[in-house]
Amino acid sequence: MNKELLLVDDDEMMLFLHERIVKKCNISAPIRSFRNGKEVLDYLLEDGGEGNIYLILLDINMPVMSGWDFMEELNKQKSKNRILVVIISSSLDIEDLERSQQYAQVIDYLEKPIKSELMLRLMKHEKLRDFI
Amino acid sequence: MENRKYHVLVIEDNPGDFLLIQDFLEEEFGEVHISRAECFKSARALFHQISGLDIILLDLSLPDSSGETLVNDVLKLAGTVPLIVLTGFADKEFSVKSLSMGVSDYLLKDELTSSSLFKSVLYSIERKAISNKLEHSEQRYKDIFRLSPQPMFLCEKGSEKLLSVNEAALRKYGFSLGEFLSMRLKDLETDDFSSEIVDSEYKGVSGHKTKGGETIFVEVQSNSVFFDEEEAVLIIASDITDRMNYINKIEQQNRKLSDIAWIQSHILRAPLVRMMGLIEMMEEEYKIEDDQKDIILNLKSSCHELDGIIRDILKKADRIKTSQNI
Repeated sequence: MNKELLLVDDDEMMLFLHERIVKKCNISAPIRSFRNGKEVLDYLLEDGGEGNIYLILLDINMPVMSGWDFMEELNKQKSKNRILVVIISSSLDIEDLERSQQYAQVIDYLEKPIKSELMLRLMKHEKLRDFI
Repeated sequence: MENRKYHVLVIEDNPGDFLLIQDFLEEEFGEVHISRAECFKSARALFHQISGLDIILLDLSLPDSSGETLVNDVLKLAGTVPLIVLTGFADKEFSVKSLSMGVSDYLLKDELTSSSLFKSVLYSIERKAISNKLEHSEQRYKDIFRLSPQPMFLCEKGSEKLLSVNEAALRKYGFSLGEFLSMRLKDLETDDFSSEIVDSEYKGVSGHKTKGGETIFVEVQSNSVFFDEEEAVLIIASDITDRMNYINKIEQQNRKLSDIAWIQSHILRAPLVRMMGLIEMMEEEYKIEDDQKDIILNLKSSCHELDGIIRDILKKADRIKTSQNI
């Protein structure tokens, strides 16, 4: 069983910041970065294994494939792996928050900028027990 | 009725007949005002001089006119005043016909009595008063249709063929009456915006084309009526173009406002949170000299201030999250 933490954001600076914050949380899983929904979707589709757990920190507003489009595509696939999603967005839009609650994979919605203590608290989420 | 003083015009060239009639009238009515004309010409002259005439008694053969021509001419002159013709046996057949022309009654001179004359005069006056009233009210309803400031259409039930339109419709749509009467109500409607028809009743908002090619929005209401004894539909179309344009404009502005809120939320905030994240990282990971702490603090509070402004704008657009998640 593999565990991976996938960071998805079109903003290079955000990826850099999130990676640093996540590393402080002493997560053993390898960390990978993607620039949009399409890149991370392709990566997941290539994975032929089963029983793997992926935690995805997902931005919403991205070129090529947005976070929402990624969620739609993800739900069309039959995956044998567990996928957990935390939306991390700069959006304050109520519609985005409401939409995030429609997807079973989404366990939380965080507002940028995220701080280290916020990430530490997230890692204690009960749904992440198998991941840590 | 009895104490009223009637004014009678007798058109009669024969002095003997006139005297007889005068006697009969005075006998039954007591006080009565009688004017006399001996020919059509003098009758016409007299008619323009006198007012308040209650009834006309007309002999069918005058020196200057007689028969159908005479009856027609006097009827035209009389207008709303009832007309009784006096005739001999020879003219009886025509007298019957004259009733359909608009004459109130005919009396055979040879059978004339004071009481039959009295009865006929009273009947004719009262009947005419009633029919005048009816004509008046019919005219009033026609005027309500004709002069209404709202465009109105009258169309045949089922076929929707236009039977009549009012002046407001002519003005609003620019078609002539002739053009209208060769159209169906549907011909006015735009393809993408037509009113609902349920059991020949029109309802709702409809787009109508004017002759000039302009589209106007109208709110349509209808009622079943009788027109020339046929079932018809009366349709009132109130122009709500201004109201519709106004609503469209507001909706457009709302969409724009919503777009602006979206941009605030997604685009404008992205570089801001990047700065906030970087400041956070600096504080956590670098050793900051005392004299630099103020700068960092100011930078931080500026970012928070800008963030507060964005949140305020979003709150006004009703798009903001009401509670924070974590």
